[in-house]
Formats: sequence, structure tokens, C-alpha cells
Amino acid sequence: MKHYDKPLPEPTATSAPFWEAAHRGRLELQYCSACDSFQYYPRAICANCWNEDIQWKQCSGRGTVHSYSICNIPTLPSFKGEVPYVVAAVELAEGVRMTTNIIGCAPDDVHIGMPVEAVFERVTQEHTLIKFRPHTD
Amino acid sequence: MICSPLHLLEIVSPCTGGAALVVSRADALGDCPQDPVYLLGAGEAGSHTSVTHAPSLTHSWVQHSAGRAFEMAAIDRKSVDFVQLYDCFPITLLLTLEDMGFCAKGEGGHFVQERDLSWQGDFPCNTNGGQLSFGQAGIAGGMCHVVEAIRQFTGRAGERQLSDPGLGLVHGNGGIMGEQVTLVLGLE
Repeated sequence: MKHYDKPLPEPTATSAPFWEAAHRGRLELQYCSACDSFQYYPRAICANCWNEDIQWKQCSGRGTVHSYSICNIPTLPSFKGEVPYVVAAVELAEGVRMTTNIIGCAPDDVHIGMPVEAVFERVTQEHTLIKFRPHTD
Repeated sequence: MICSPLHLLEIVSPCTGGAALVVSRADALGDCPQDPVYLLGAGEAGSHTSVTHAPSLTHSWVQHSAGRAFEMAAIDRKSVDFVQLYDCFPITLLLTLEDMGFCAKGEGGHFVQERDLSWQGDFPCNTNGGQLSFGQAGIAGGMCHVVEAIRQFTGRAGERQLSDPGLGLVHGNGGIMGEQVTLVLGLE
């Protein structure tokens, strides 16, 4: 596998299940049955009702672009080869938002409200990142 | 274009620097060699960490921090003589003006175009040029606006000195429009 020089996730005890699921090609989110809500990013308790008993649930991986920016000048030199790339907030069907990249289309084709689906990008032997691409039914 | 829709001159430039001021209880001023500036009102509000999780991208919690500061100072925003508003990007300042109620939502651009924001103008705003002019010295970036307000009140603003300012408004924002602090400062 090609050397990957961009920042990598550093899972904590709380977030490890998210990254492990991603590595298996699944988008899993924390779900609180007490208040019937999903949450992202991972937290030790339900941020809505403070319930401690939260589960991990596999999600559809579908969502829409909530907002985005096309990056031409990267923050870190290691992203130089990627420009222009799209940094986006994707609103998942489960009602939470993720910071991610939109891939699989020209940056200029991205628009607010665009339907997207999760893509699992294995970047090292141990790490998989979740990005999104346009989705059409 | 750096990152759409932001162009080069719309992005604050990182720089180094520092800022400091002395804070005291009003009854402990002693023989302070200069006239004090009073903190008349303060308000704070925090809505999110990552901007991805912001409750809204167009309506910030400046409305809450400013509302609390105005209420504590028992003033109307129209009575301030100048404003020092956090300005890491122009949109930050425009949203701040809108959410403070100086103009309607979406009208921030028109509001500043129709006014003279200089120290001699009809709406003095960031009389020191703001961070978009001289850069953002990390955490000191927000402090520069407090220091400028105090310079204006104490007659130490040099060539850009306002004539007789009585009330000033300072606003700081942290994170990505997630943390808001508003101060009302005055001479009495």
C-alpha cells in the first residue's frame, strides 16, 4: 500500500467502534433508545438526554450535502496533490451531520442538497476514512 | 480563490503578537493614573464546536451574547458610539452585525456598503483596521478589539481618535462562530 502522509484518525475508547466499523465498510452511529436519537461525533453519553446506555447502529450511509467549500490552497502540504477538493458537511438520513469529503464528481458539480452516499476509503492497513459520492436512485 | 467562497483578502492573515489590559474592581482603583473604562455589560453564548454541528449556518448565537450584554448594561444597541467586532473573515463581521440587530438577516452586506465604517464615519467599526488589516495574533486577536476600545475611551488612539466616545461595543467570537462574547464598555 502506498505511503499515506495525511493525518490519520486517532481512535479513543469512545470513538474506536466508529472507526472499526468503517474499516469493515459500515457506517455505524451511536443511537440512544431512551430519546430515540442518533448522535455524531461519538460521545460517552447521549448528548441529548445524558443516558449512558447508548448502542452502535448500522446506518444507511445516505445523506445530502448540507454545505461545502472547494479547497484550492490546502492547510497542510500533504493535501497539495488533492486540490481542488471538496470539504463538506453531510447531513445523514439519520439526522446527524459529518465533516467529510465529496469525491467521485467534479468539485463544481457539488451543490447544497445533493444526494450522496458513503464511500469507504482504505488509506492504510489499519485505517479507513468515510467519504461521500453523488448518489442517484 | 483560497477555499470557496473566500478569496485571499477575505481571510485573516496569521501573525504573532500579544495584547494585555489591567482589570480591577471599580472600588479598588486607588490612585490609578488614568481614567478607568467601565465594563457595563457582558454576555456569553456557546452553540457548537465544529461548524458542521452548528445549529444554523446563517443565525449565530451572537443574538444571545449581545442580548445579555445589552440587558446587563441597560442600553439599546443604537446608543453605542463605535463597535469593535471580531473579524476573522468578512462574513463573521456581517453575521455579527445582523445577529446583534443592527440590520435585518441577509442585509449585512448592504448595511456596510451604505455606511462609512472609518473612525470619521457614520458607523465607526474596527477603528484600528481590525484583524483583516493587521492580522490575527492567535488568542490575542480578540483582545486587540478590547485594547482598541480602551485606547479610544482614554484618548490614546492617535490619528484615528474618535471625538468623545461614551459607549462602545466589543465582540469576540471563538471556534467557528461557536463561541460568542459581547462587552459593553463606557466611561461611566
